[in-house]
Amino acid sequence: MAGILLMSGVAGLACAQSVSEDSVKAAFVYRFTDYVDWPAPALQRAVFTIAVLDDPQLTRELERICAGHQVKGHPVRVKPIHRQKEASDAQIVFLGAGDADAHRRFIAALGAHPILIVTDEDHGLDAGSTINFMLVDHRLRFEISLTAAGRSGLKISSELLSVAARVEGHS
Amino acid sequence: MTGPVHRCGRKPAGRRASPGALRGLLLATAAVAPWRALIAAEPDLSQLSLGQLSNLEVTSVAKAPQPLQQAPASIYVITHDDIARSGVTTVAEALRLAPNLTITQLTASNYVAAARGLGGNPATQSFSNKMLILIDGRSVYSPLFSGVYLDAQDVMLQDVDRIEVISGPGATLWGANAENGVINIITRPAYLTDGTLVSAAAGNREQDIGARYGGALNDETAFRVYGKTFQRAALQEQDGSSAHDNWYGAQGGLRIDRSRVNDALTVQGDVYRALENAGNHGSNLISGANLLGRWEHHYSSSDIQLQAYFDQTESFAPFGSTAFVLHTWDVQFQQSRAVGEEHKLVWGAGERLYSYTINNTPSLGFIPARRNLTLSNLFVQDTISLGASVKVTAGIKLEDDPYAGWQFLPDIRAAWALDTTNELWVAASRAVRSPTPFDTDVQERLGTTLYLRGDTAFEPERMRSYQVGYRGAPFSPVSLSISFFYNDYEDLRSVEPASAHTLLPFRWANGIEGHTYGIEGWAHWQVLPWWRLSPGVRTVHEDLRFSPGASGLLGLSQAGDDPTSQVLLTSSMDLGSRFTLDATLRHVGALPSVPALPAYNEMNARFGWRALETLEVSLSGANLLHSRHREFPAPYGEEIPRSIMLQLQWRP
Repeated sequence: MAGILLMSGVAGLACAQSVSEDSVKAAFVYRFTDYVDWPAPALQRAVFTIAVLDDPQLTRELERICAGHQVKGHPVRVKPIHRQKEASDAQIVFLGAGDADAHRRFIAALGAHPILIVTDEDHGLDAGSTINFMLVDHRLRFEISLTAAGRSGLKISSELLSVAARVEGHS
Repeated sequence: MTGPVHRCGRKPAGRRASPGALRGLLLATAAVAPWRALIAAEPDLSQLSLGQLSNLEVTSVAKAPQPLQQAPASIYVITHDDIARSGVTTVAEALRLAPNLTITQLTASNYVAAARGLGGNPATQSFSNKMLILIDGRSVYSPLFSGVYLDAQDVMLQDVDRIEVISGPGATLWGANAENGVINIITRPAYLTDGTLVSAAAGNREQDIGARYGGALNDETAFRVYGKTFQRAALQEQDGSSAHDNWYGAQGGLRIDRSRVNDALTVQGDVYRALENAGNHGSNLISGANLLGRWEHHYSSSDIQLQAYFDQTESFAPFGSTAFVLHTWDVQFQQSRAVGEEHKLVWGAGERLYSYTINNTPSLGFIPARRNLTLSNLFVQDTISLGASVKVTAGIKLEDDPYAGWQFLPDIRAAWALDTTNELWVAASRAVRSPTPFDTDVQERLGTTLYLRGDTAFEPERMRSYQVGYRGAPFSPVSLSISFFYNDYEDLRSVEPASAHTLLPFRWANGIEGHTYGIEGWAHWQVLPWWRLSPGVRTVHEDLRFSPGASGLLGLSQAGDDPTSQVLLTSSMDLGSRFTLDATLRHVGALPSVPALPAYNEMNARFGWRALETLEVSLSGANLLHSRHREFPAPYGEEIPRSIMLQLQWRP
């Protein structure tokens, strides 16, 4: 899959710029908030919290991206976490490093909280996440599970669904 | 043989070489530069649309903003940060940051870029003609004089994403003249250069001012416009007097990018004009304009790209003397797709039309003075994965050269990943430097005597190249690239009497052959979180000879008067969150010509201060170690004085 981009860059036609994967991932996570509706009770806190499990680099990028911006009318807090318990006040949880089984347990323990769970691993949706990143030809894309979104009470806009590389299940 | 060609055409700087079939492994890239400046003007991604984000090429390894398309080749990447932190104001000076290039400044406006030797020799009207330079996919290699006029190639350096410098052949992808290297200058898409930027620089040797504004036309489409102007002081003669070659110019341009999820469209163009003092004779005027469009579409299993551009280049020597106007039309198509699990196939085709008119003078003429030249090409390349750790890339380009007909430019490479961060690679390639009107059509006279003429029988200069290299991160804070090359050349240009009976005129011929070999290596060592050291070294040994039957006129240094060694050492420091200190020390070995030009050491340095969130102030100096130095023997090279400059950059 790497090859395709390569080529283009190589032949000097595709003059793509290069930015770090984490910075693009962070930008996507921030942009997702425009296309996802949380149930009203989930947005009653003073801040909008994005929790990041065990990924300091992505935490830094998210802090940089979110600095000075508001989400749903709230200032944004990026919160590095290490345990599932710390995620309960978040609206988004990004699961970084860790094995799929650990993530599966983490997501199961969160239950039906109105939290957008974002992962970045092979078969991330199978682990129960709502949005999972994947690399396609050096570009960052994502897949969406409507089943997981429905379980968490989240509404995902059709615009976001149209951009997704794959949409699974139904709400 | 110092014909008026130099006057007419500012001397070209490029050589060809190329990166061969670079395709490749991701890992290498990351390993080459796993560092990211703490104080960096990172593009703000928070305002990008979903479509724009989906089109960004990302790097997945080592968290370093490096291109992924690094293939098994000797590639050095000059990053956006490297350029910003060096304080350079021209493309030519930025290229000095690459340890696999040697940059030689001859006059105030004339630089020569060369990789792996054979950098030409102005004393024999031989150009650095074995290196291609592309700006956002547009070739700026001059088909008239076989080289690159670096004085005519400018960009808004603040908008450059990176410069990829590939030493070694790249003919299979880039075509003829990519013998010794390819330089890709890549600017950022408009949606990453949002907002206003104003920069100004003033010093003892130059003054520059530039501005850029970027904005969004709608959620999918972003644009930027820029303008810049500069003036640069004359260099000096040996006695310290002015060389009267000061110059000034202006350039402007725009870029529009429309990005959807699987679809990207780019339109960009530039116009420029500069006047170069030619002493008592008035000024050379250079001017040009270009417009490029590129469309990329990503299907589920393949990508296609279509690109077309028009480029106009003009040069006028004073008083109706030598002048040329060159129009280039180019269209290229490319498709890449995965075939099964193991194969990644790319193929493409392109057509180029050069249309030129030269104003002949009594001393320098081209017969005919105007021509249309077409260049067609077709290439295919496959990268085959053999198991998890070995990739073999094989490709061939067929190029229909206007003078020499179909050329076959094959390339085969293999990369063996030792682990996730270390790679060994080998490559074998064939490349050519194609004939130009200067080789075939030129007529030079002294008074009424014809003393040099081109020869329509002039053949392409041919080379075979063999390389082996290692790239990787042998231990944690160090990344390393090292490669060895052996190039075998045939039919290099020489000069012969045109007939056996009279001395004059001479004609161009293909009477030099031989080989070159050398080593290139560089490393990045993150000594401390705030301090990086980057050493780089290159050597080249040229072992050339005249072919049997050749006259041996002008000696072998006509193929290149190149330093046999070069060492760079760059130190980059972040001093707290507001200050940066960068310095590059360079040692360039002696030139072998007679009389020899001794080796020299010089240093560039920059101290940057982010005075406000929106304002950066910096003090930079170039060639600090001597009040003046020389990089090429007189009369072609001049004395280069030390320069000091204060720069402001404001991003409200």
